[in-house]
Amino acid sequence: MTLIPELEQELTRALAAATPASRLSRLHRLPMLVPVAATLAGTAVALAAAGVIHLGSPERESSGHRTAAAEAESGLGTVSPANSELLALRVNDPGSLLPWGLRVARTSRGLGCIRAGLVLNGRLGALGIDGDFGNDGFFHPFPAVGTPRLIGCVPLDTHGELFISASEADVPTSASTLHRCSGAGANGKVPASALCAGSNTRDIYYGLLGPRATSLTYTSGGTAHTIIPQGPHGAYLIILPADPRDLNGVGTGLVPAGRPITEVTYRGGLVCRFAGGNPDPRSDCSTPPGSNYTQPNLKRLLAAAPQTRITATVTHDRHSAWSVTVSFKAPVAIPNALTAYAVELHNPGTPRLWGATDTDTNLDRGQRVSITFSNLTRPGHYSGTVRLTHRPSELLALGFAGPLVGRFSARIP
Amino acid sequence: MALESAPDDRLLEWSSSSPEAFAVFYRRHERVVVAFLGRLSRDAELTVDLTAETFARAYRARAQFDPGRGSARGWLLGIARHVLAASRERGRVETEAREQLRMQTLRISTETLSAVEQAVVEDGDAVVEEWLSGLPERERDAVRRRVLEDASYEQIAAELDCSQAVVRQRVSRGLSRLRRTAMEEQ
Repeated sequence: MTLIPELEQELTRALAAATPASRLSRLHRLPMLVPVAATLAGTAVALAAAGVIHLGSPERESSGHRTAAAEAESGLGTVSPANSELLALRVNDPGSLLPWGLRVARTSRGLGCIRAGLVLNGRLGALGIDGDFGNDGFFHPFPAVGTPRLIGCVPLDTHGELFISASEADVPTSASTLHRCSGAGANGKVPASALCAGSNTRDIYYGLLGPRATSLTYTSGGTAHTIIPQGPHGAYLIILPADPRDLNGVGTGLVPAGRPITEVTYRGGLVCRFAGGNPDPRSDCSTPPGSNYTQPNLKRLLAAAPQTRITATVTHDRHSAWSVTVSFKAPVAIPNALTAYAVELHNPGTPRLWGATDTDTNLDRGQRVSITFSNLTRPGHYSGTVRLTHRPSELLALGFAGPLVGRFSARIP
Repeated sequence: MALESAPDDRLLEWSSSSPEAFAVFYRRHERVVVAFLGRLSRDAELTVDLTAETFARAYRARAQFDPGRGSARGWLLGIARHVLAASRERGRVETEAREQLRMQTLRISTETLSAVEQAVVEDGDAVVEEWLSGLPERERDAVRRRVLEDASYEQIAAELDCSQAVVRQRVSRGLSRLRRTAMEEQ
């Protein structure tokens, strides 16, 4: 990871936009040449075959100083080529030259991920249009391996199956994640100049409903539409014009979310209904029903954590800043992304949190863990806890709740 | 040649036609620049701002880099020092180079600020000491106090038990020497 990914991304965007005009694509003129929406996707493939849509540099999510081995054992883990698959599902978009598609992947740390994008020649990616990639008009493949994008990953179930539903608001028709504009509904403080042109953005809903799903119904423009989940994973992908009343931001979970989706049916006659973007509380649909989905047995994992001795060492550097290093031996192994040790440090004389962090890396049982809180300036007795926590299925971030592993205190003079 | 293994001068040369080449250059030197500016400014948000302007200026001045006269790292730190000095003088970080590139204002996450703080704590001293290591001891001491600790010439003179004129001379000579070896952007 870079230290300031926001700066790296903005530098890359700005430099791409500053490249000479001769590199700008003919793509912007193409819609006038192919005005019939229904033919766009097929035409795009032909244009690509003819060399009009060129292959650009891959979109880069992250990279940096960590080694591949370190990345494979920390955070979300990494994806190898053998664990990444572009699904056969394609959805045409009248506003895009290329069809949309999905790729699913499994990471080295036990997560399953999904990503939507445009498809060209069997690759998932984005187009350099509408301000992204300097309007170069090239097709920029998303990286198929490496560290997955944070959006669109959930824990696999105990059988290694992936059940996932994701939604993204205000996605540009370029499918790029290097957004230059913001959706009107995302933040009321976004200046008008930064807002996306409405016709150039989409709300997209996609996921894997499992092999037993038989249909999904959504509403758009006041009309109900029913689609059949595709393939052995029960894949679905819905591309709608962006509407801030329907969706803001991004979300990932085990079951569909988003106001347009109203119903999913499964073999055996089971029906899950959704209202306002949430499962009907009268039905047992908060986890994927009608299939063999079972949640990872976190209860057993968390109950296995005995308490251990925690040490806290206070150090002082030459710049008048104090640090507290919390150290302990891992009482249980952390084999994947589902669990981690969470460390909290509280201000002197108050329950107010000074800071919190987590290990979020694979650990052997008995392995020494050291975490340092730096730049403490307030004198007094700091206190803290170490807990074994888990990554909730519906959330990407690790939580800070869980069984207590130990307590510590440290005095800053 | 793969971008990741290309030498700095080639990356800067290729940056004119390949934003990715400059991104590789950025990733290669980001931590050093952050540690350097963070150690000197002691403010994480300010460090991000200064780092952004430093790399924007480096891109603008990429044709001036000559590997025969020093490392890209020294060249970048020279630019960074100029950006910092100008910000201290004017009470705000300059945005000229970023405006030329039409860079947008960054929205920085708390995770990023924490990472910046951590990098400064871990590497700040070492980076600054390395930057000063080529100077004679007296000049190094004067530059350190003046640039790092932002001490006045009067304070430094009192601490070193010499005249302000001598301190000014040492600081001036030290910075001049750094400028010559690092090809600091003028």
